[in-house]
Amino acid sequence: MKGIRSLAVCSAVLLSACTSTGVNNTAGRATVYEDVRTSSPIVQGVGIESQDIVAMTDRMMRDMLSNQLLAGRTPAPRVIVDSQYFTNESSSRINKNMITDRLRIELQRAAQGRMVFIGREYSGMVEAERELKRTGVTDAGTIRSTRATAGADFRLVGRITSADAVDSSTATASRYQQISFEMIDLEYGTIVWSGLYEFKKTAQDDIIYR
Amino acid sequence: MRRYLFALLLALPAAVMASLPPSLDQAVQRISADDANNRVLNQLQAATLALDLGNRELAGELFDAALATITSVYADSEQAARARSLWYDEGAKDFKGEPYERAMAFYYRGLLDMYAGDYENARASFKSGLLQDAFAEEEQHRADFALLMFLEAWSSHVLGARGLADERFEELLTFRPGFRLPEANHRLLVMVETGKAPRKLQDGIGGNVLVYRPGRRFREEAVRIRVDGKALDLTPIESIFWQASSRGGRPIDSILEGQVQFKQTTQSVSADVSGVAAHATMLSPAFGAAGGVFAGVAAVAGVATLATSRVKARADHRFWNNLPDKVHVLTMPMPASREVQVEFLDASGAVINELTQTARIEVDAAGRGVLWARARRATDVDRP
Repeated sequence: MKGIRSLAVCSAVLLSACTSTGVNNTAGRATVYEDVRTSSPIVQGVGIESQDIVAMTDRMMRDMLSNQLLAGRTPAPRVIVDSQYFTNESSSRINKNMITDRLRIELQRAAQGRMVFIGREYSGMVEAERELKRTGVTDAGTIRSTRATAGADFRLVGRITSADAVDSSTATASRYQQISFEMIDLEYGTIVWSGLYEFKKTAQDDIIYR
Repeated sequence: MRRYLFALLLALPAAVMASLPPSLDQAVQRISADDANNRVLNQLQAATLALDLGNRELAGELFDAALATITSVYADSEQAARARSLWYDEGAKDFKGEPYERAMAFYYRGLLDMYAGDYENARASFKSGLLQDAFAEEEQHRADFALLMFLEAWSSHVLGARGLADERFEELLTFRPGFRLPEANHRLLVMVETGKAPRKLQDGIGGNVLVYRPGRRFREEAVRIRVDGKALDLTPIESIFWQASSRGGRPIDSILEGQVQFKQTTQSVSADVSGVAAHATMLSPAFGAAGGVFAGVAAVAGVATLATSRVKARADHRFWNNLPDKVHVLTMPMPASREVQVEFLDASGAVINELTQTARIEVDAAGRGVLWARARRATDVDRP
């Protein structure tokens, strides 16, 4: 009797299992816009994602504008915000310009003249144009002529670092990311402002990939 | 399917697509023509071929696309659940490669970054590759990918991050005692690949066990370069076959083993019940109404047989076929000449003349050089 009962259970399991099918996703998925401030439900990893860049640059911008040494000076200080001295020592591949460009643009929009931004990255282009004007190849333009291009008072430096951990028994991977931002006085060498953004992500892949 | 082709076509400049050599064009076409679950495998193989043929822009795009899938986490995925089920082979899953393959994808991505002079992202790639090796089951072989360790340290070395470089070089020496570390004035990295990719084979009952074998039909074992009138031997730093074969059992192996046991159990149930049913069929006229019970038993036997025949427990033996067998490295100060002769030697130390080639050193704006070569074309591969 016990044998027949287990046989019945076995057959029921087999019959129900036979009816399971995979999901048919061959039709694909139409393009959708996703919010850059939230994690994508489809593709996720432990690296730096859009919501991290948006959140960190927003926070740094607010913090910088509330610092009187930076945003409360008269006349407004000249600052350089680019990726030249922003180093990536982490295990996440990233285009650092995504961070510094967003930070500079949002900062400039919000600063309302409390800071003046210098495009040192484009100094070669500016020098070439000045040369054309001064040699008479082009006229002098309509704004003004200056003896030299603008010198900077402060420059952004920073570092992206990470600490990774893998639990090999569960194949859980975690990454702690730390992104430091500092503003350096370009005459005196002091650090006039610092900011830190950190986050940690943990993920576990399906067992078939461990 | 069309989505992938369309996305790829959008991603590639028309001029690049139009001018592809036939072998590369074929490899790129395969990405969209083949099953969707082979997409990453085909991307990796096409990317390696593109790199070999000097099309770094395409190689970079393909490695980026492959790594986007490799690094995404498959959690609550229907597709992954299907690969775990009784009714599908492990090969039904999206290919993301075994840890050594994922690590090598990061290696090539980092190499492309070095060519572009972006040593920070190169270092990030090598670090990420090293993490893939941390998934090894055998503790003594976890994160022992000396090649990636060395490249991470080299990237820090040329970036002037002395502390980070020293830390990694020190760790490297625990895995490769006696390895000659770069000197402060070394600015050129020579990296040469030999041999063919490790092969994955199905073994065991019904092919449920994954085993590795070295690539076939190659005999180069060592590398020597000639530059500025000097002959210099490269150091073999990594065996990809060793990395493939030393990771130990995979968690999925237990599932496959369970599937085999299930198959054997249902086979046994099927055989036992079939025997009962056969007797019942013969005797049913004598038992009258009771014959219906035996008919039910026969139906169970049929289901068990059907289930047995449908259970799939084969291991996934798809492999990245244009990887090398070994990687050899050398660092040195920048030589006067940009042309280097690369010679390949067999196990007895004799030069294999037909493999000798001339390679060019590429130097970035900061004076850091890379020379990368491989003994064989990326189309010279073993079939499964």
